[in-house]
Amino acid sequence: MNSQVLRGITVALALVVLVAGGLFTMYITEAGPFNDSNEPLACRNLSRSENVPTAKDDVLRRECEAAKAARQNRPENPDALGTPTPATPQPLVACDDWDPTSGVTGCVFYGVLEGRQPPPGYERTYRVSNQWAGDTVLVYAGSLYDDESQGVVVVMTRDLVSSTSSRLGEFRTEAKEGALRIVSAEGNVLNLITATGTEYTFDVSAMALTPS
Amino acid sequence: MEDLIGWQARLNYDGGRMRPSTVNFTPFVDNTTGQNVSFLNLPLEARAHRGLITATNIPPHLAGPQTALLGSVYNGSQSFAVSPDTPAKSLPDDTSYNAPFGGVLAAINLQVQAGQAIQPSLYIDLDDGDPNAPGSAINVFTGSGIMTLTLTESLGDGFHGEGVPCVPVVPVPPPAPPPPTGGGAGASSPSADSDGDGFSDTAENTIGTYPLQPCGADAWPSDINNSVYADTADIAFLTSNFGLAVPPTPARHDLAPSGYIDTADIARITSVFGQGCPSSELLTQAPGATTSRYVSDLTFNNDCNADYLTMFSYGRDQALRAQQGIVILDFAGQINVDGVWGVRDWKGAFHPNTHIANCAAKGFIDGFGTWSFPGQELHLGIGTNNSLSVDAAAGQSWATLINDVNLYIDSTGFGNLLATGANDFEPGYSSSAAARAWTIGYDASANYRYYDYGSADGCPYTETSTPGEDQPCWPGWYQSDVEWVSWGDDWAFPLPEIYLTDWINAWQWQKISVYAYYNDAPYDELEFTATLTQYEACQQQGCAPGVDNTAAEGWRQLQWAVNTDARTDVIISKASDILWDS
Repeated sequence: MNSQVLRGITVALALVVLVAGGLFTMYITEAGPFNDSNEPLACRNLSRSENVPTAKDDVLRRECEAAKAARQNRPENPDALGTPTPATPQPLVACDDWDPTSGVTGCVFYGVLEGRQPPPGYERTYRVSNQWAGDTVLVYAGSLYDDESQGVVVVMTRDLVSSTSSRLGEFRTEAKEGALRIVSAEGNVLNLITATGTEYTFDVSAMALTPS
Repeated sequence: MEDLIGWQARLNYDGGRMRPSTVNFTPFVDNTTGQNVSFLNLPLEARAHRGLITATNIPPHLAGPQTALLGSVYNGSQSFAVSPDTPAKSLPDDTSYNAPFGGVLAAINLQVQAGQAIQPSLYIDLDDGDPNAPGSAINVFTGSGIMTLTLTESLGDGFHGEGVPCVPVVPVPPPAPPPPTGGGAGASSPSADSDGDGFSDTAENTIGTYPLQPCGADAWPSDINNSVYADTADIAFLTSNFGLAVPPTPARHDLAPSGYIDTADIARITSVFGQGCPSSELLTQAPGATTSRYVSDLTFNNDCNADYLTMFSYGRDQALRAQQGIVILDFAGQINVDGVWGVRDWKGAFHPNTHIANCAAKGFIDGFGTWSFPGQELHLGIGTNNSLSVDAAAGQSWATLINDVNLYIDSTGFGNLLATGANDFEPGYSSSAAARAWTIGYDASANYRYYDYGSADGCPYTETSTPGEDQPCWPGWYQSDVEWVSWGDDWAFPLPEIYLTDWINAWQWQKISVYAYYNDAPYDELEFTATLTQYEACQQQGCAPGVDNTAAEGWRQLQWAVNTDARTDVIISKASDILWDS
């Protein structure tokens, strides 16, 4: 291979590198955050869905105006919106004992909790009447999702450190007497009643559902 | 004869004397195309004749009265042009052929048994359905489907004299078989076709397919073997049972319920030959789904750094998967503790709204905004549900939360993000009054929309006799309540759960849209923003049977359901599937 050919190859490689470098630069420039000149998303096509009827346009216009106003009024320092970022882990505080002004930013519920929120992963398996929260388990009282006459107690693990949760067991009333509901707790023993008035107890330690 | 699709002939004869032996269904040759033809496939379509599906049921020969059935159907979708006429209509709908004096459908070879010379005339009785059903009939195209015209006893019979003059004789039909006990019942009464698959609900109930499912196992009658397609395998079920009564032949084969397997049944397959079940093509058009999340791994002690980093990774993951559209982050139900609004998460920890905004949402926004690419846009639906504290104050606090988060988004310059409210409104979670109160509270402070990613539990999934009448759903809820929280409220946009694999959810929401069409002017029918499924969540933790539609399947079901009705026909451009974080 003579020197002229080598020189030609070198020039060609340099061109390739230049072109590739240019493309790479363009790529880097276009990636990442959008700059301030962009219109807020609320004002662009994604928000103005092709489906939205004219009648709801007014709502979307208000949404767009709010987004523009937010842009004009944005704080100099985004962290001013609040980023408590505590350097040290916060203590776990029971919600009954929590003082919102203490600097502790949240709390943990214990005891009988009202609300129909189902156990995680089982929204279409159970209908919940209420629940009981202990240190290591959450106990849900209610019925099967597809059969409200079948009362159930469902026990889920509660790990205050790892946040993981899994189902420990499901316990059904012998007769179909409607959804169960927790009426009180004495230590680890829960008193329940069915929709038709039959009383049960659930011993959390023994994991046993028995008629009272 | 006009617009012929298919035909069948009932032949009665004495099998010990003269019987049909073979049938040539295309006794002529078109020398131009080189194809064999009969009157049935005489029209040219794209310079070629259509193929025929043929069927015969000629019993082995026995002495004494016997009966046979034979027929054929052209293959392919039906139209006036390919359905032959004789003579031509005054304004012909096809001019590729000329049959002014009738046409030959088939040539039947008759076999004369030994010993018939100088005997009384032999006969082939072209018969109606009495005493042996099904009788001779023709199937004609009506413009929207198939009509079967049964032929009467006045049909001409054939006689033959073997070595003697031919003299008409009185045919002796074979004894009538016992009448079928199933099939046909109610088949002639028209009814709605709820799933839009071309078969009425009444017919599907008789056939044994699901009247709300156009696609899937035992969903589309034409797809007998559940292969998704209507093809020769399905036709084979009919040709192998041609002319037989139902039962004992399964009702699943009696596609035009009559109590018998005949050409009308075959025509229900040949008319859609090679096609997939209705809505199957939508599966290939489903939008790419985003990953929504049940946010279930926030720290119990509200460690902002930890929760920020966790959510940052989720936002980055969303960006790197090149997903765009709408994502729901479900933070669970709201509750107020000592005057502080927040959520009680899935494991009984309280997270104030400030923690959701400043740690969790902020992390997700920074993760997505930093790693996303131009044009990758996302609506971030910050979600709660109506299972705990559900009132106007709760709604107002959630709207304020959304406003704060958008303030942060604008401060970052991430112009490809918009925070919206979101609520998993479930009729089983709270009263309808409480849910409506929440929307009023939300509206009071709202600057941004909210998505209802909830259910229509207990709502009707079939059309009622009075369209637009408000029907009950879950106890205490009506269609009007579901419609209000999902669309009727100014700031509400529907993003419904389409979990059920049996299509019920899709039809429930379509009926909610019908309700809106009649009652919610000027908004009218629901403009579904997206569909939500929980396939990934079910893969993670298991689910009850039949609630794990994939994202594409959920979208297909609702898109098809709304497409089947002009009152609800909208394009759904997005889909999302939800999973659990931990």
